[in-house]
Parts: sequence; C-alpha cells; structure tokens
Amino acid sequence: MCAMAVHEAETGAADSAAPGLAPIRLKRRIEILPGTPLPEFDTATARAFAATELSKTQQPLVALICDGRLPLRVDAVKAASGRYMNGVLRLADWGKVNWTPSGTECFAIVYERPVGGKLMPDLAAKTAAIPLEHIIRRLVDPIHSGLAGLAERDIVHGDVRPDNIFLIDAKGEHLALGPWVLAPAGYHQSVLFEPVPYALAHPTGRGAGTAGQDLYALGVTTLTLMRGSLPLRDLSDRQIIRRKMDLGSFAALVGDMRLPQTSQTLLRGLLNDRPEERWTIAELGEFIAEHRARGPRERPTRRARTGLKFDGHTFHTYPALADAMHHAVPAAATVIRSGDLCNWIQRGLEDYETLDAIETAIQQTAGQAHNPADGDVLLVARVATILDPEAPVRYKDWSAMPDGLGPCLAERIESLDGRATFAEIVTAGLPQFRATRLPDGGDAGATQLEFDRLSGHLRKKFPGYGVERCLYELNSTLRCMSPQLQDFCVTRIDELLPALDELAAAGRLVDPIDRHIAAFIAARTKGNVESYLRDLADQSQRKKVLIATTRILAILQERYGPKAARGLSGLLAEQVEAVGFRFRYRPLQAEMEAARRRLATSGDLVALASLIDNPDKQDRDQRAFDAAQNRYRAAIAEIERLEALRDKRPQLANETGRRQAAGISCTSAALALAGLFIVWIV
Amino acid sequence: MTGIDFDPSLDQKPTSRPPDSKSLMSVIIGLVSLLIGIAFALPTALLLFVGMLPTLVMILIDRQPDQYGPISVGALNFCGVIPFLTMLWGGDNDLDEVIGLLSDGFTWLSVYGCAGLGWLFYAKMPALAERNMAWRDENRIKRCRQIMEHLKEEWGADLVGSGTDSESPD
Repeated sequence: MCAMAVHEAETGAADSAAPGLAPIRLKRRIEILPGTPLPEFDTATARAFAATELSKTQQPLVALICDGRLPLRVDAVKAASGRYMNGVLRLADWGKVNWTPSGTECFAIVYERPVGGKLMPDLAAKTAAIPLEHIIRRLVDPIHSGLAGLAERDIVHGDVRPDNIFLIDAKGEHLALGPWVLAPAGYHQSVLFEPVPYALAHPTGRGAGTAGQDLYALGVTTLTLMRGSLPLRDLSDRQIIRRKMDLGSFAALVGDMRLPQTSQTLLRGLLNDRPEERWTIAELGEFIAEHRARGPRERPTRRARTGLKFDGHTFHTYPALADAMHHAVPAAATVIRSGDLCNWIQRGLEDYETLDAIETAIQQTAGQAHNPADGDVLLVARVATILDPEAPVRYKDWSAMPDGLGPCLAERIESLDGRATFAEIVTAGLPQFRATRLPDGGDAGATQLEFDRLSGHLRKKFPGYGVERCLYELNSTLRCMSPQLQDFCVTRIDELLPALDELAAAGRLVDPIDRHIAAFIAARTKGNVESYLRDLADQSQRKKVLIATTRILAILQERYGPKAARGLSGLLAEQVEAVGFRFRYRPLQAEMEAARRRLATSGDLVALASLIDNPDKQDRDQRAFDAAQNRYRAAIAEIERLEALRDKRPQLANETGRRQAAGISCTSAALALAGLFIVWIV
Repeated sequence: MTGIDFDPSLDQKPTSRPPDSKSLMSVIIGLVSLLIGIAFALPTALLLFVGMLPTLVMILIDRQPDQYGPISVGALNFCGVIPFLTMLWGGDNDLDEVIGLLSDGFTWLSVYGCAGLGWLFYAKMPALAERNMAWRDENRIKRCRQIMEHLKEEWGADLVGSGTDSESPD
C-alpha cells in the first residue's frame, strides 16, 4: 500500500536516505530521488522527496508521494498541472510511480521546489509582527493572484495557512501557496482557518471547498502575520469554534487587538461569517488596488431574549446550541422531548417555522429507529440540522458536509462502526434533510437524487452494492481499496484489469472480484453488469460465480483492454477445470478442453467467457444426454427381453417352423398348379 | 434411434382350438368326399384316395390344433397327384387306367415323393426356424451391446445409472 511506502519513509529515514536507492522516473522527464527525503515539505498524507526535471533547466523539484488513503483531487491536479500561476507553486507534473522502496504503486505529485523555506515553519512559531502595508504587498497581493488563477480553473486551494506559504526564491521576495491537491480540501487545515460550519466538520468531511473558504483562511493568515503568532493559540478546537460562534469570527480572532481602519476593513471582509457577504476574489482585488472596497455588511446572528440552560451552559443562538446538543445526545433528547427547547424557541425567539419543523421531526423520528438510543441520536441529528442547517451532517461521531461524506467514508471504510454509521446516515436521509433545511434551498434536488440512489445501493447486499458501492460513487478518484490491490494504485477502471492480471500471473489473486472490486467496477463501468453481480452473491453455486466473474472481466477487457490478460485467463481456466465445468458429450468436452487450454495462454477473456457461458449449447448437450440415456436404457431392456426369450425359443421356433413349412408347401403347390394350368392351356 | 425394435410376434401365443372336434370334422369331410367320389367318379376317387393316403395318415396322426402338418404334407401331396389326375382325365378315365397308373412305380415315386417333401419341410422347419431365431436374437443383442459401448464412449460413465456421480453442467 502507498501508506506503507510513506510509513516506511516516515519510520525509516535512514532507509530512505540510504545510498543505492535508484532514482525513480515519472513519465521519463522527472527523476525522483527516494534516497533524498525533504521532510520540511511532508504533509499528513504525503512524504516529500527531492526530484529534478530531466530537461536542460534541471530545475529542482519536490515530489510528494501520496499514501493513497484518501482520494486525490484529480480534477484539480489535471487543471493545474504544468501551468504557471502567480502566487501558487507550479505543479510540474503528476502520475503514478512504482515506488521501489516499498514495491508499491503510488501517486507522485511534483511541484517546483521553493528555496526560501516556509513563511512560518509551523503554526506554533512566533514571528515579528509585520505591518499591514507590507503584508498586503508581499502576501495578500500574490496570494490573491494565485487564488484568482485557481478560481479561473474552478480550483479551490483549501490549504491556505502560514506554514503552507513558501518563499520561492532565496531572497524571499516572492511568495506562493504550497501544495494543495494531496487530500480533500481543508483536510490539512486547523479549525482556526475554516469558517465555522466547515470547522465543525471532520477534516475529511469538509467537502469540495469554496473560494470563500480560501479567502477566510487568507484573512486568518493575514491576522496571524499582523500579530506575529496564531490567534487563539491557547484554546482547544472546540473552544475556538465556540468563541467564533458566540462572537463572530472577526471579534473572536481579533479580540482586543487594536487595528487600523484599513486592517479592520480587510479582515472584516475576509472573515465575514456569512459566505454570501464575505468578500469575493474580485472584491479583494479592488481592495488591493485601491485600498477600498465594499464595506462589511455584517448581520448579527439571531439571539434569543432569554438563554436556554443546557449541559451546564446557557445558549442564546441556534448554532452554538446545536453543536452542544451534538456532543450531549441524551441530554439533548431530553430537552427536545420535554418541550423545553420548543418553549425556549417560542418565548425567546418566536420562531414558529423552526418550532413546526422540530415538532415534525419528533413525530417522524418516533418509531423510525430500532431502539430508543438510536431514536435519540436520530432526533438530535435532525433537530441540530433544523437549528443550524449550514453546519455539517452530524450523527454519532460523524460530522461531514454532504459532499464530504465520501472522503469521510474512505477514511473509515475498514471500521465496522464507521460503515454502519454511514449506512444509518444515508438510510435516515440526513443529507437530504439538511439540503431541504438550507435557507437558499441549496442543491436539494441533486442531493435528494444522489443520496436516494445511495440508499438504494445500501439496501442491496450482494457484491457491487452496499457501503463499498457508496464509497466509490462518492469518491470518483479514490483508488480501489481491495486488500488484494494494496500494492497498486487503481483509480481508473481501465487500470483494474492490468493490475488483476499482474496479481493473477504472480499467483497472488485469490478472489478476482471481491466486494471492493465489484463495487469499484459497478461504480466506474458504464453499462449494466448488475445481473452478473447478483450471480456473484451465491457462493454455493460455484459455476454461476465463475461465469459471472469471467463475464464481468470479459466486459472490462472488451471495453478497456488489454487485449491479452494471460494471468487472469490462466487463473480462470484453472478454475473452470477445478469447478468441473464440462459438457457431457465427450467429443464436445474434448473440444472444450482444447479450447480451454488454448484460451488459458491466449489471455482472451471474452472468448473464455463465451466458452463457459453458452446456455444454448449446454441445454442441447443436456437434452442429447437425456436422449442418449434413454437409448442406453432401451438397449439394456432389449437385451434383457431377448435373453428372457431364450428359454421360450424352442417352442416359438416349433410354432414358427411348422407355420413356415405349411406356407412353403402351399406356395409350392400353388406354383405347381399354376404351371400345370399354363401347360394345359398351351 | 437405436434401430432396436420390439418384435410383438415373439410374444404371441399359438391359438388353441379343441383338437378332437377339428379331427372329427376333417374325417367326416373326407368320408363324405370319398362317398361322393365313389358314387360319381370312381377312377378319380380311387386315384385320389390312394395318392392322398400320406395326407390322410398325417391328418389322423397330427395332434396339433393348427393342422400345419396335414397342410404341409397335403399341399405337396396334392401337387404330386395332379399330373396323374390330368393324365387320367385326358385318357379313358376308367378303372383300368387307374390301375395302370398305380401299377407304375414312377407314379408312386412322384406322389409319395412330393408328400415326403412336404413332411420333410414340416419336420425340419422348426429346427431351422430356431437356428434362425437364435442367430437373429444374438445379432440383436450384439447390436445392442455395440450401441451401449458407443454411447458410453460418447457420453462417459454418467450414462450408466442416474448420472449423479458428477455435477450437472448447468
């Protein structure tokens, strides 16, 4: 597994740095040096190694070797690869490499290597406070250019923070945003750099991200440089979020720091908690150019006249209460069911729409869950969504935006609890429920369609469906997570068959289509393989399973190649023999055996599938066998009958012989008389 | 198809009639015929009586209800008599001529030779038929065994018995 490769590099720097590790080439134009790690560029999901471009320039590069646990942002990689954008490290190239230190296949993302180091070595570091003018000219301006360039290509950076901003040149005159495509947007971000709704989500569950999140992170970065250290650095993540909820991001982060008007304008514009009122990239550009822009239009969060005491705290706003309820489900369920929550809303906020929604949720949840505890969890999840619809879907230990559920599932797919919780979230329709509660309606229709489809997949238990199918439907760029393919990085359907073929040739393929592979094929293949997937479920019918397996692999070969898959054909041909797949008619069986031997080495899975999946021929064979069996039985019966007649034969012969004698005599007499008559006439 | 056909005739049983009534009827018919012949055509009747004596004897001694013996002997015996009857009817047709014919050894040889031939058929055909049936049945059994071997070669051991010793192809 790629993670193993990275782990190896991580835990054995000496090994990685050991001399003799041959350079690894990426697309014949970049050479990665596995013996030269660059730990200062490491991320949580990738390890960095030195690389060089094999052109005349021989530009120093840094190759990030991904661990493959999480889906790569392939669309962003493709859009940015090879392009020069001010304010963003150039993504020189990318692709898969056979990472020889571990013998596995990994994604390598290669960036130009900045020589000036990081703007801040880490988030805990302290630097001298920098004046705003300097920050705007040296940081905000180039980063704005970078974000604008990315936005032109519909790319969200998702990793804007001081320790991911690099000084490109040795003099430190030019800054650029660092690597960004290695994990889902926002995965590497601290909650400090995320707007509240995204900060509430698990790092893998922050979704695709928005340009507004990048601008918010830029605001926090600017403030950090102005202060010389991270704001709220002594608080825990939950405390930071609570502070932002209570005071608003600007007030929470700036605190009692005295700021000039220009700085306040910039930070209020970037740190606005309402996405629709936060500055856009264009507005930030106007501010940089003219030092003026649309003034902040902050609207205070709706506060209740009286507070609701819950879990030892008093709450006046919905978001903070919803977050607290998510972390204290039993108490929250009690408050909801006792009517205290409704009373508080009625008296303190007079929000009758929310009241109605909560009462409906209570009615709908009653009887929906299998046990009271699950009922409480579901009820609290729904009520939390009603109170704060912009927050992530929160259920048990999950907290993810609907478009972040996929990466979240990828991270927890090995955990039974994680799988079960995901299934409960989808089955309960929480993402759809959230979409319907969003003030602007969100993309409720699309969300409804997508998660209804996933719910349908979960209801089907046979291979190709279930949680695995949801995993690959939600993560279009995730590699196939089958344990059998742990040494491969199969992200596209056309890469699957060659990988399976290689495994089969090496004798390491046990089950050609396990649940992960089946789901990967079902999610990535256009066309209907469902009937064959159903057949895979019945493991007691070995022939049916073998036919289905061969058919599915043949479909892949027909559509995506390669033309010859000799490892797989050999394996399947062996299984054909082992299963006793044969015709009853021996000449036909001999013909089939010859064809099986030929196809075992030819690699033609389509022909092999046609050979074993020929119901008409098998039906004819069976019918002919039945007829032959009848003939055989008739022959036995005839022999028995004739042998039984043996004792009676003298008697029968006597009778027959005497009759024949009479017949011969009469015939002879008739002939003689006729002859005599003729002679007499003549 | 196998070409193995069941021969229903092999299972047929000979029809049985009361032998005594048939013999009695034959004797009565013979005596009536003889009396008519004596009354209206004595030379012919004499020649027929003397010439057909083997048949008469056969009628009397054959105890089989189907009367194949008298038929076998009688038909050929009659063939042997006919030429001499034509000679009688073509000549004077009197007792002298009959006596002349009966005194000729060739007449006896012809008439009784034909009757003997009929008896020979009757006596030997059952053995011949038995040999023929045995040959035919053995050929049939051999053919059946060949067919069975051929089927086993084509379809294997599954063909024998229920064929449950291996998994069905489908």
